[in-house]
Parts: sequence; structure tokens; C-alpha cells
Amino acid sequence: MPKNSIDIKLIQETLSGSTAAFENLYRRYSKHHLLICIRYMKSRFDAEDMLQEAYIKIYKDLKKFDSSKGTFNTWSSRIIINTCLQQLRKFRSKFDIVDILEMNTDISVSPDAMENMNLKDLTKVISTLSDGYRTVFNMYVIDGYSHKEIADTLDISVSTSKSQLMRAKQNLKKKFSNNEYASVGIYA
Amino acid sequence: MLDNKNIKDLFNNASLEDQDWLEPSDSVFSGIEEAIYKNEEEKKPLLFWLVGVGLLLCCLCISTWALNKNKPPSESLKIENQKSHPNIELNTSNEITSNAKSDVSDHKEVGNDPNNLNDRSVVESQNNDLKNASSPPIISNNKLNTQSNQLKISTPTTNKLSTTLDITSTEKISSLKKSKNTVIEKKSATTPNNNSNKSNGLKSTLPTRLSNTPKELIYKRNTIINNQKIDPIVESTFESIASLKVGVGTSIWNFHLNDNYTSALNPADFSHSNGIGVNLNIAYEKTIAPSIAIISTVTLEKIKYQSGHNSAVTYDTNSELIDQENEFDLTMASPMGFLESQVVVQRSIDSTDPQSDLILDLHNEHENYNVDFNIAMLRQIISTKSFSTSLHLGVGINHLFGINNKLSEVNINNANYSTTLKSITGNQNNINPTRPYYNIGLNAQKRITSNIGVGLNALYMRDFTSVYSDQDFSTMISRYMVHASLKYAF
Repeated sequence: MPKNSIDIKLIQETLSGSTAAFENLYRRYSKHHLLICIRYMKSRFDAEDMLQEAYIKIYKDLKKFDSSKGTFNTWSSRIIINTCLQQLRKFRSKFDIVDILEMNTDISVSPDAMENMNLKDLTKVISTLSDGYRTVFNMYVIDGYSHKEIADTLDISVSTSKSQLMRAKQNLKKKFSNNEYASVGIYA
Repeated sequence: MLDNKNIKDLFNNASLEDQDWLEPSDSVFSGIEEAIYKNEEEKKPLLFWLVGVGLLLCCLCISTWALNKNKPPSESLKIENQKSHPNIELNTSNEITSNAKSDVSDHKEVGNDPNNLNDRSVVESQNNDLKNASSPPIISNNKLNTQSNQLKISTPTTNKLSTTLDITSTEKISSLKKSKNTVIEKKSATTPNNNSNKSNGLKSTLPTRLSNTPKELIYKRNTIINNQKIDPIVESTFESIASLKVGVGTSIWNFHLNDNYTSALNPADFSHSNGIGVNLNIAYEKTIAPSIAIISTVTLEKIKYQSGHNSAVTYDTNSELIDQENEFDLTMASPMGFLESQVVVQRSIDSTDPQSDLILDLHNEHENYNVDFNIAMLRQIISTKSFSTSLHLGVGINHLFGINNKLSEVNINNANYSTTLKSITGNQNNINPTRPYYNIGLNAQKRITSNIGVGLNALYMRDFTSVYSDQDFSTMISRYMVHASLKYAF
């Protein structure tokens, strides 16, 4: 059975009142969703909090899910990201405004630095970025938002979004080069 | 090279099955489960309250209806009862005869008392549009027994009635006879099949009877009954009383943050106190039925409460303005939404780190005024001569104004840093200042003099709408109010 069909079946059972089906749904995507939370939040503790809060929202809004418009994974990931962004907006100071027009959109890292790079290491390095850099980097590079969407969502200008992304990449490059990720152990 | 696409693929398409470090702790799902069940459980008390309030209203309606049914007639109803209730018809005729105080020494066939006819005419003309007037009284049946000094009166439309009357004045009897003859003449002038003429004839007698108000009639009736040592019909004890109340008291506000709001604030160790306040109120109360009154109250209230939470900031020496200071624009949470503030943090020269993560412990003080208009029904549940207790059930509107916030204290978790300036730069948005609510409570009242009393009121109020609402976040308010009042009845 295709993955999406299983999801739809579990959603229908959840809507019929089955908590077990919802737990099954949660287990299927919890790792992927926790990874999103970890990317956006600075600590694992906060990330798990966001995961919990987001899943409560998912449960409440499950009846709004329309399988014809996309997969459960896409739909639920958006809820996870929005929950994290909402949290960041509330408690973080505003993003620094730096106007830098020129930027390089790829991260050029030496092959040596990349040799042993894996998901965990990359996550660790991203987590060391400041809130502003990390959020824009996550949204643009990993979650596929445009700068316009980022600007609208974070209530910043497009140029600020671009400059944040550039700085984020510069920072990451520096950290990769210095093997700083090796010393980051908050997710271990 | 690790380009954007590679990073995106790594995060979105990589298999996570072997990534045990991404396994959420068990507490996450147990928290989700708890929140889901809690939500469903929360719906039950609401349903319980709705059903409870509905039942209570039904009980009050039924009891009000029952009271109205049993209560002594109001002025319009008294007339109707005179028609349908034999005693009242008897009393009315007695009144007239008693007023005459006639002494009858001869056996005379007096016939029907014209005033009695008039009484009936009054009753019937006012209540039945003279329909019953088509049945003329059988005058010959009404006889005055002079030997026993008894006046026997009967009418065809009522059960046969009899009573003993002291007749002291022959003059009055004569006048009654004259009146009777007048009425008989008038009645003779009408044809039995001509209702309109009959009505006109009866109408001509109305002014005489209407000159007495129903209250006067009842008074006279009871006077007669007292003279006859018959238990009087108890006149209504209900009297519509208006009164003015002035009260002062204290209030407690409970803020009910919804799950999303609570969850969002939990990581920041958000806490808040209940609102405590004082209130001044003035009320107008009017009894509308025995044991039931309507009360409308205007209350002015002042409420204070505190809230606080942590906020994480990064002190960057490169961003210092002057005197080793960094300025932070912070968004702070309160039970009624988010505030904007500005905090200036100063670094001591002992701290040389280019970047320091600081936790600011923020404490806010909030104050607001509100005016409240409430209309409620008071249902007396216990009543003695000088003490009564009533159930209070009502609805109202509360309006917030004069919202003030103060950032009272900022503590920093690093001794090398201190705050030099702290201020609120923006108050809460998305506040709904005007909210309808329902309330339920108890009112105890002690009568001091005939028109002065003191009272104590305890009320619970719950808003129908949230005081703060923004996307998934919302806060509802419930309030407890206790106030003492001085009542003046007029």
C-alpha cells in the first residue's frame, strides 16, 4: 500500500476516534518532524516542546486535511514549521537588519570538511547559528521558501532576508572549515 | 561541495530509520495525548453548565408561572375572579348591602339587588365583552327573608350563594328597591334577543361601580367579612417595590489561557497572578412578582495583576552603542496578549566575551479599569421577616479601558550584566475590550428598617467571548465578585 494511502487510512481512523491510529501517524513522522523542530529551535528541549504543540494542532486540524491538495507529510510539516516560527517570533529579539546586496547562494566548503559530514553533524552546525541566520537558512535552503515568503512570514524586508542568508552561509562555511561541529554536542 | 540542493535532499529525503538520536522522548506523545484528552474533557463541564443553566431557567419559569397562577389577582384579574369566584361575587353584593346597613322588619320580596346586577355587569362587561349579559338575572329568586334577617341572593350564572347580613336601615332598603326598579325598568326596555341594547343598558350602570377602585372593593369586602367573622380572603402580600442599592466589594479575575497559548509560553517559564481588584456598584432593583425581582447593576472596577517570564537574548559587543550597552526590543507575554518593551543591558568591564547568551527575567505589572453593566433576575429562595436570600442569574457586558502596563523588574542571569533602562513601548494588541458574559450568584439581604437594608452578594461571572484572541492564542476571563451593599426601598 502506498505511504500516502496508509496515512489517509490512519487519518480516517483518527477522525473516527482512534487514538492508536493517531499514535501510529505520529510514530511514522515524529523523527522527520523533530528534525524540523531541531533545525529551527536552539535546544532539543524547545524542539520537543514545539513538536508536542504542533501535533496538538495537527490533531485539532486533522479534519481540515485535504489529501487531494498534498500529502500528510507536506501538510503536517508546514504546521510544524509555522509552530516553530510562531514561537521564535514571540520570544526572540528582532532580526538584525543588514543590507548586503551581493551574495553567494551556495555554500562552498572544502572537500575535506565535507568528508565525514552527515545529517547529525550538519544539524549540529546549523543549530549554532543565531536565531535570525538559522531561521532564514532553514526556510530558504531546506524548506524551500522564497525570500519574499520569508520576508512576509518574519515581517522583515526581502533584502534583510537575503543578507541573513548570506551571513548564515558565511558562518556555516567558517564553522565547517574549523570543524566546529565536532564540538557541538547538544543533540547527542 | 555542499550546495543548497544537497542540503535540502539530505534533510528532506534521507532515510531517518537509523537516526536514533531523532527519536522523540516518550514524554512528547504522552503530553500530546494528555492535551487531546484534556480538550475533550473540558467540553464536558461546559455542556454540564449549559444544561444546568437551562434547567435552572426552566425551574424558575415553572415556579414563576406557578406563583402567578396562585397569587392573589392583580387589579384586572380581580374583576375576572369576581365573575368566576362565588365568594367574590357574594362579597361584592354583601358590600353593597352592608353599606346600606338596612334593618328589615317586614317580609318583603326585594328581588335582585340592583347593585349586584351592576357588579355582575361590571365584571362581564369588562371581561367578556358583555357576552354573558344576554342571560338576565332571575330577579324573582332573590328574596329577603325578614324573619330571619337573612338575605338570600342567587344569580343564574353562579352557584347559589347565601349569607347572613345585618340589615339596619330601611332607608337603604328603599333606595335599593328604587335602584332595583330602575335596573328592572332598564332591563325591561331591552329585548332578550338584542344583545347590543342589553349591553348598552348594562353599560349605563358601569360608572357607579367603577367609581370604586378594585383595591377599595377588596378593602370593603374584607371589612365586611371581618364583621361577619369569616376568614377574609388574604389580599396579595406582593407589592411591587423599587429600591436602589449602592455597594463596594472586591473581585478576583481568573485568566484562562487556551492550550496553544499556554504551550507557547511554557518554554519561557511564563507565570501570572490572578487579577485582584476593587469595585463600586450601583443597582436598581424592582420586584416584578412575589419572590422575583429584576436588578440592573452598573459596576466600576479596578484590577491589578502581575506576570513574568524569561527571554533569551544574545549580548554582542559589536552591537554596543555607548558605555558598553546593548539595546533590546523584546516581545513580552501577558495573560491578555503580547507587549513590546525596550531594555538596555549594560556590560561590566569584567566581561570580555564578544557574545554572551543572557536570560532576562522579566516582571510586569498590569492594571486596568472596567465598567460593567449587568441585568439579572433575583429569585428569592429563603425569606423570613427581616432576612432573605436570593439566587442571582443574569447576563451583562463588561468593557475594559485604561489598560496600563509596567515593566517593573528585569533580572539577568549573569552578574556581569545589568539593566539601565526598561520601558514598555507598546501595549497589548488584539484585546477585545467589550465582552458579554453570564453570571450566577447568591444575594443575602437583611432588613434594618422598613425601607433600608444591607446585603451581601457573591457572584461568579464567565465571559462568552475571549478577552484576547490572536490566531491560535486566546484568553477567557472568569470573575468572582463579592460586595456589600446598602439598599434603600422606595
